[in-house]
Amino acid sequence: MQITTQTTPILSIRDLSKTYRSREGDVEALTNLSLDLERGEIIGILGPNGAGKTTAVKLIMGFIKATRGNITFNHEELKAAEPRPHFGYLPESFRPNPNLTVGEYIGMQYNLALPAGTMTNRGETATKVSTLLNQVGMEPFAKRRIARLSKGMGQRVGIAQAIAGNPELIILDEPTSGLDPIGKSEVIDLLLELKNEGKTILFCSHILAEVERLCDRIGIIVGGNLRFLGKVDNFLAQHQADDLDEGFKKEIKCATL
Amino acid sequence: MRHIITIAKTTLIESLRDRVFVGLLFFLLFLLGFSAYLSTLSLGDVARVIQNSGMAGMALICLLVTILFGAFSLYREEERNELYVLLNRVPRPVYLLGRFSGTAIIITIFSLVSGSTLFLLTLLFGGEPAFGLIWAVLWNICEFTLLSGVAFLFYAMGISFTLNAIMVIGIFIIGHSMNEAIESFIALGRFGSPLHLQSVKIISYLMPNFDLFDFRLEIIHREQLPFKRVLSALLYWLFYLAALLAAAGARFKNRDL
Repeated sequence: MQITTQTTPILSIRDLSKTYRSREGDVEALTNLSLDLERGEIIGILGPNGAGKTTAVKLIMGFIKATRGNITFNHEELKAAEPRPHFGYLPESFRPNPNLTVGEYIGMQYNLALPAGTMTNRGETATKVSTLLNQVGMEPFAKRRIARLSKGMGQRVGIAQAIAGNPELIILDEPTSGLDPIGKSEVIDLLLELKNEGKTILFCSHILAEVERLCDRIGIIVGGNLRFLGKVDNFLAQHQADDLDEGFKKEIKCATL
Repeated sequence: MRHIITIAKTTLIESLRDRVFVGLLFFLLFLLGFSAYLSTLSLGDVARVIQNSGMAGMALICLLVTILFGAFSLYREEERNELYVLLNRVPRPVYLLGRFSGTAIIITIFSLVSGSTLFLLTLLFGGEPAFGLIWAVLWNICEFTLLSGVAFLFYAMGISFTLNAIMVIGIFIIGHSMNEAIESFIALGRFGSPLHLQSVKIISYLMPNFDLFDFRLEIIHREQLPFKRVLSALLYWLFYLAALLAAAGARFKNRDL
């Protein structure tokens, strides 16, 4: 597996593990995850439901404490329960507050994303909000209440808030989950635009087609273990598969044997 | 500081647009109007009846505000996964402080509306309003911001919303019953020694003890509030609230989300 990269990685994960303790017994949700993410790269993390993808994302974001392992970002170790000012994040099944307008919500996120000590005025915030909403195609809906948006529009607002702080790394957890085909297509197109801008993106999905279309490398997690990390072509060659769907099924079968 | 203000402001805007806020406001006005109607049926002083029952109504509404806009809003934000987006940008204790500040403003709004409505109703029904109603508003704010602090601590500990709400109501009842219970036990000679009595009194202050903010009799009878009691109540509120929020921040920081 190609864990390390040729150049200095922006994000480096080593032996990341998470064990949940319960009365029924310990559950190892993630075991020894190691990977490097290069600047400007898009890595797609694939896996069936319950594989450990969201656990990996929550560990990277610091929402849960790791049992073992460490994560470094630009050579600095990341600690749990600390904010990640250089990250943009869109969680799974994200629903922003329905009582705010789109403009108000993005304005709030932009203000929160500003570094400490930065002064800003309403005019600057309004300009920035307009730019962000334009980028995701939501500028005409700036005054609309979030409750009146479709799911696809809501996800676009979610992506707008993720890029509000001009992050170095964008982490998306199942960004097309629950969307209809048009919504999915809109979100994928947005992500392709971000890719063309040179953004570094890590995203989790179990929709193979979008991973194949977007990603430079893929990681496959099954049962908490990283089974593959590398380019799609290498994965297909390894499994002698014609497409990612076939290769993925073969990988799951191997993992369960 | 900017983060706290941004989150507090957003909390306030979200709540003002919430149908529950409007519903509670109407319910408050109904309760206060009902207290005015009661005064017409009583043989006592109109002003006293309105203010006495009105202050009870104010307390009931603020209890609902504490549960619905304090505690419930935190759980709702977590359920929508919006919490994670916010915690990506701000430290956890700062998030709690921002949310608490917004809740405190909402409690203040309801208290001020209650106080001014009671004042007007008393005038309207031919009574002589007590300017001490300003104190009633202040003590109401102190009591319910303290109770909100308790709800926030329970949230930070990971307690479910239902249990949180039940415990908050329980603490409200206990906090108003402690002094009366102690006096009853003294009258019944249940305390074996002065040390026993002192220990129970100390425990009553740890609970929290809302009777410290009960100046209803002095307000209704237009008596001067004793300076020492006022000062000790304010100091108690300040230190207890600071301790609650510090504990909530520390616990929230250590919790896996």
